[in-house]
Amino acid sequence: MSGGHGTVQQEVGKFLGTALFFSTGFCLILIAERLVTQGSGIEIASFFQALYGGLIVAALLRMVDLLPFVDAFLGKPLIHNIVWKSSLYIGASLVYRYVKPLFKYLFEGLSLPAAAENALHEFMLARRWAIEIWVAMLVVVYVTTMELIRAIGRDRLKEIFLGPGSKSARERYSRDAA
Amino acid sequence: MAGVVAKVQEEIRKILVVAVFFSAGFCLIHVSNQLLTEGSHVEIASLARAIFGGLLVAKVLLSVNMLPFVHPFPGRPLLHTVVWKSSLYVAGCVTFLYVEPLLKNIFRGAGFFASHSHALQELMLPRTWATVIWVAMLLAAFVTLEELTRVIGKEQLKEMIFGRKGKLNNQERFRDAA
Repeated sequence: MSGGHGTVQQEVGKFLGTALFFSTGFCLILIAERLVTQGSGIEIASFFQALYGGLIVAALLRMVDLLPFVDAFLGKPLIHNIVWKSSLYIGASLVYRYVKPLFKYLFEGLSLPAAAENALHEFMLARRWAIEIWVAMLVVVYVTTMELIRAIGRDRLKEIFLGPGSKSARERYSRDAA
Repeated sequence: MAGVVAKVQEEIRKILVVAVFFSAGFCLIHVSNQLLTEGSHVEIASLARAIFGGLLVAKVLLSVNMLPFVHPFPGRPLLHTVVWKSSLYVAGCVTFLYVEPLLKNIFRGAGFFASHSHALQELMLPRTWATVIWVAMLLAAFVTLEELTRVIGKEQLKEMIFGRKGKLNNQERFRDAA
């Protein structure tokens, strides 16, 4: 039971970490986009949408992680897994970008061909592709960081960045001492 | 003499790596901004300026690296150095964004106060601060990677990401053959 509780805690921690990373990234991008388009009348997403976007990306990533072939290159140099997983995540975000409006239009009562046409039109909007570039950049940074953590070790990396005084390092030292 | 040539070669290689990293980042930001502002009258910097911007950031970074207090935290957790160096580099870039138009106007014959006023006005443009946000994001990623490379070791990190290849592999083959 405590093992299951630990797994759930770990999964929630992973999800929140991912959501925090993407929400922060999206908020910074939003500020920059607002500054660029100030006074032009171009409609920019709200901060709420940026925060919510981070949660959606985090949920998508966790779903993709459930696929059996997500870690197809274990034991190979990290570049394989970085390229593979980034492509998978970006592919999933593209699918989501098409499927979300498709279902929205279907639930609004449109026929499948009409809903598909509208969804495709939304999918091809230039502004959506601008967002996709940002998502792709953040995904690459995220996957590279995750793969480095896996290769170097979470505790070792925490020790490098936060010093031996960090909680995980202290736990490790007390474990080794025991 | 050979030592000087090797040092110059090393410095040029460093500039090129930094310039390629930032130019690539700026080009992606440029494409994203083009897509975002498509059909509006917002003026976006050209692709050539994005590439040139990468070279300028590389120059600023190498100039900042010459300061005696750029590494004040040896032996301390990396987080100190990452925050310190990123702040220094961002400050260097902001200084450059102010000094460049100031000097340009002074050389054009405008008085110091007129040049200062013009430079300050350019610095306060929303678009300039959008650029600073992007530069800061790229710098944080760059400094983190640079510091991690310093601690773990360049060759080890290369091996981790790209595997045992090229020079190292050849050296080993020769060693094994002997």
